[in-house]
Amino acid sequence: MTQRGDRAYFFSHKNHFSSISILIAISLFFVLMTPVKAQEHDSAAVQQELETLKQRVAALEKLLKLPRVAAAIANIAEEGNDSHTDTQVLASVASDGSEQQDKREATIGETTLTFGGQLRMDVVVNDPSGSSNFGMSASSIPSSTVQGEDWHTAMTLRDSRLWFKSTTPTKYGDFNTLIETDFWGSSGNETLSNSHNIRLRHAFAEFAGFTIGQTNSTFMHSGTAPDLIIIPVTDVFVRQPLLRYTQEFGDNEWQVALEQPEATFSDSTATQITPDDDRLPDLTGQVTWRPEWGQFSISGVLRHLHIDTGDTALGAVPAGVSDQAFGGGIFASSRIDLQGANNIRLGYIIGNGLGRYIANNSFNAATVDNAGKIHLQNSMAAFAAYQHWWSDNWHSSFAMTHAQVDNDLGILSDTAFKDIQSYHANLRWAPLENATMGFEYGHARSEKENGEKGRLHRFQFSTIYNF
Amino acid sequence: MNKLRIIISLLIIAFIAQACSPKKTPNKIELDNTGQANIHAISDQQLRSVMKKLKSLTFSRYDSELERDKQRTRYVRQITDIAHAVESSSESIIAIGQRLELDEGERKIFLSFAAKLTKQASGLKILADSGEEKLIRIKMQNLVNTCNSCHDNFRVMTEGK
Repeated sequence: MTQRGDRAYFFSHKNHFSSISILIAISLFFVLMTPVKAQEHDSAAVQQELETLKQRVAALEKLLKLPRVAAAIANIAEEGNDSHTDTQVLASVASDGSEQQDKREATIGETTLTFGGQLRMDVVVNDPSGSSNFGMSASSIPSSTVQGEDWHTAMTLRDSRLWFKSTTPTKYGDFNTLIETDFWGSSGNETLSNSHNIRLRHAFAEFAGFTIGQTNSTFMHSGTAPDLIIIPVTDVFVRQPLLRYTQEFGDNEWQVALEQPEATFSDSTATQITPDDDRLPDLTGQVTWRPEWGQFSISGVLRHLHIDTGDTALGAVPAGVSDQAFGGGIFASSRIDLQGANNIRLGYIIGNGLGRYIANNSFNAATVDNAGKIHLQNSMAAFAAYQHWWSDNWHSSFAMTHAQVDNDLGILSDTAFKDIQSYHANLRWAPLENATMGFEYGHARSEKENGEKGRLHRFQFSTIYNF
Repeated sequence: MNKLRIIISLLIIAFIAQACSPKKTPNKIELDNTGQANIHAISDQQLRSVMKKLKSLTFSRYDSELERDKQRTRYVRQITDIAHAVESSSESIIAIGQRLELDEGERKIFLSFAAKLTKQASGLKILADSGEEKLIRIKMQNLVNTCNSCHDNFRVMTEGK
């Protein structure tokens, strides 16, 4: 009864049945048209697809731009330069410029690999000759009380470099790596082969604001250092392993980093000692502004200095003593742009326990007395330089640098260095974008606490070709 | 006292060097007292200045290649800004041509110079966007050449009228 009744109901409501069928069909239609795949994919996969599409669009845009750039280049040639030199320049641009750039690049997947380097030859004449042909620190300036060799000439290509970098785009920005080497490793002889070993300069990765690896210390400033061929005695230079975070704001940036610790002390005889007792990394930070008139940078370093001789004496420091102290310093520098590309560069560094962070480690961070107690040393350095462009290809720099330290002569021998200076004048010629040569005269002086003075005249010719 | 003498000597060298600096390099195009062209002359000087900084960067002693890349990006951005400014100023030249009291033949020549300038400025902008540094420099020189040719033809005439 019920079945028959239902059937009766069913057949007696044909119109109603039709309506239900239509509803089911419409529902099915919408269900089938729903983007089922998108629901099935998780958000990461969708994001990845989106990134891939973005990259393809970027590649297509690049391809679209190429004809426009090619047309612009062709247009230059059509503009008809009267001068033969311009025609030569155009020809060299066409053959050397972008093509050379392409030749040293390779792409594997989404990663672009680039290889390059520099060939550099230096000819140095020192008068008198000292402990180092090419280096510049207090100890490499020959003492005036010792009769040295009057003139000594040395040539080297050890500052030639090789680098290899990679760039991989990711959704967080580019993932960059760099390995760079030079030939300042263990030295060969000048007699026969001049074979010098390769040395690591930089090896680091950059990603999402982080820099991990070995590169220039955050305490150093790029862009405000004097443009010199001879290394100045007050150089702020340390390259070491670090973990750094960089945050850019406009053209400016701030950085904070943990860096390799390494304490250098003087014992009471003014001899350098370097205990292997470092416990905490050096903390460094920097802020750089780049206004229209040039650049201003300020950086700081905070260091934990520690010595623990254990069972073995270290220099004049006896066994069984230990001590620790915190030191640090500040470095402020600026490049002030004048008419054209001429500029003045100024820098001032001051601190208590700076040690190896200034003047190529001419002074140590602290003195350790005969009881094993650490006495931090105040030190300062300053530089002033003027760079002048005589023309588009010729330029000169004139610089003076000075560094000094406050030694406590109650605990330290008077054979310790008190101050150093260097003065520089150079002329450089850069006829091509990637080649330059130049000549510089430098005069360096040093003085010890006992009044003993040192002096050095250095002439250096340098030629560089970047490839 | 000795240090003071050295500082004074350095300052004197700097001032002499600045004073002796050639206002125009031998191959540089003359643009003095040419009215509107000064806009391009200033842009040219700015461009030369950025190019010199780029050149300096190539030979910096300590910077790693990745650091140089970042600096290059900043300078190329400056070059792009200059190129955009030049393009904007070149468009105003055509309007000047319409206002000047010139006969038909003169106006035709003037407008052809203006059209050439606008085309060159557009090309400069494209090159700046592409980052082709060496070509930008050549393009800028050609553009200033056009300015000079135009001013050689029309400066006295327009001032006389």
